[in-house]
Amino acid sequence: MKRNIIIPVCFLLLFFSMDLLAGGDPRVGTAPAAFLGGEEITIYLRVLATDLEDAEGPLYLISGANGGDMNMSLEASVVDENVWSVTITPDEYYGVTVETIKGKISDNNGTETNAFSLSVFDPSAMDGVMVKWFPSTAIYSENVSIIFNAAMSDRDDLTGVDPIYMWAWNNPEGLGDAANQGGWGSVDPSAACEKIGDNLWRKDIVPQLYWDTEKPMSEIGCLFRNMAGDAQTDDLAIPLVAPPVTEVAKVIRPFPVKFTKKDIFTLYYDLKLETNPAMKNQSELYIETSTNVEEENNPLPGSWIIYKPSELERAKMTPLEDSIYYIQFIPEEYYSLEPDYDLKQLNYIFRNKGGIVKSEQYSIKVLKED
Amino acid sequence: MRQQYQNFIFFIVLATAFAACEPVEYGELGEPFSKIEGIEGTWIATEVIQVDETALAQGGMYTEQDLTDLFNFTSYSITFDVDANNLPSNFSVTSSGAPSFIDTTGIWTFNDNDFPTEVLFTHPDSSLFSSKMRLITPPRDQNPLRMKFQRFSGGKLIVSYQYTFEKQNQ
Repeated sequence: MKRNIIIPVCFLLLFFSMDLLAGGDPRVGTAPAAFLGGEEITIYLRVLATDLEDAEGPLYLISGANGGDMNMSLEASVVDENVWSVTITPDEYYGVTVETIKGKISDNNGTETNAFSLSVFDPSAMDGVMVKWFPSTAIYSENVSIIFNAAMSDRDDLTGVDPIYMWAWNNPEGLGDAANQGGWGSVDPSAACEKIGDNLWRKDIVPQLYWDTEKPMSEIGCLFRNMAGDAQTDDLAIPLVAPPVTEVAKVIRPFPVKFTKKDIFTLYYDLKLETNPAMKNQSELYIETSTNVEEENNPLPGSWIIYKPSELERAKMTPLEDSIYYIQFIPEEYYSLEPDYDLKQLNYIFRNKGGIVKSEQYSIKVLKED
Repeated sequence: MRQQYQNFIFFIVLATAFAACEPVEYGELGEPFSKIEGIEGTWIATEVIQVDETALAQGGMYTEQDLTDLFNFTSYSITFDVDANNLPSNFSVTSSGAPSFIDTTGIWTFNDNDFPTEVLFTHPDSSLFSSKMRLITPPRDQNPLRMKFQRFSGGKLIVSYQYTFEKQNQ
């Protein structure tokens, strides 16, 4: 009897533990954000904080449409660090009129993320509504589609007006009117919206790009208008937020995140998150370090017995707070690099002075200055 | 009596209205201050902040680090010389061991002498500017000088160093 209970419980535990071991939730968005099945779209696959974080690729979008099997595979291209993309026309790619897409991201070794889903824009979402934006939580550094239903104009009647323009500004951060849109009396064609249905207009923008800024933004102010500017809606405000913080607690944290060999670089190490239990008992920490995959320019090569205490000081980390230690330097000076040396990565092993207790090796990318 | 009182009130209101219509004289705007004269002299760093522009743009948790008391930055100074015609001429950096992201000697210029947004530094061996600092505020003699050095990679701003300088007494 007991055995009969234990076996299903074990299966349940196995199921849940497998679920916990799944590859993390990717953040997936599209350009345009509110898309139609018959148009070309770019799907952005953000793999930060998934098992495919920092993957060198190739990575693939494994997907299916309308609840069907995920049996379509398409290689993605690198867009940015931990951001990949594919470009498809959904109806053509899946061979059906697409309503929903379900997908996951995978590499050649079978490592994959959790599944995600996307929905084709449904015009009925605009019934009785003048303006809606997608996604509803708009991020200032990613695509947002602002949809205007001219049949529901609140001030002047813009029903049947063609083309419709979006006049946009930003007050909270003082960025002012979007520079590309010209003047009120001579609105630039780049401010025109795309017609995506009967009296339905779409303006798809990446706010930071539209204002050509790298500042965080908290709001888009906008209205919809005709070309002459003598018919318009009332002012609207669309709140913007920062991308979700996906900085998961890690053993090492570089500051800044991206840097060159000429920058002041600080490496933080959180002993609390170290996986080697023997390391956690150490109170004096040092780094064993080198550059590039060839592990060059180690400032203290070989056994440390041969070095004077003053020479070892350069490898010693400074305690900061709780379990956090740091070391700070300018790479080209610390590693005594030749001016034309192509520094691509820094390698670290954290250790005690004697070198008997060590962490695993970590590597951090170094960028090249323009 | 009541009629006289009403006339008196009417007269007062009318007089006040006329007085209010008198043209008001405004003070004249002064000459715009010279940005070249405003930056001339020796400036000593009093604050240096490193900004992680990538983290800032992505809404990260860690975006700034105060470097003022590190790397001997408080001994870092820049001298901007002006020639006899009040035009930009030489500059020199005294780093005292602090990192310098710009050239250490050469010729300095503004990108625009009237409305400068950048200070351009040209190495003595070069004909084109070789490094630059972006002005955070217009340079003015009695105000702190605030500039930032910006590092780009792949066309993207990745790190900046925001300096505040105080003018050294002559």
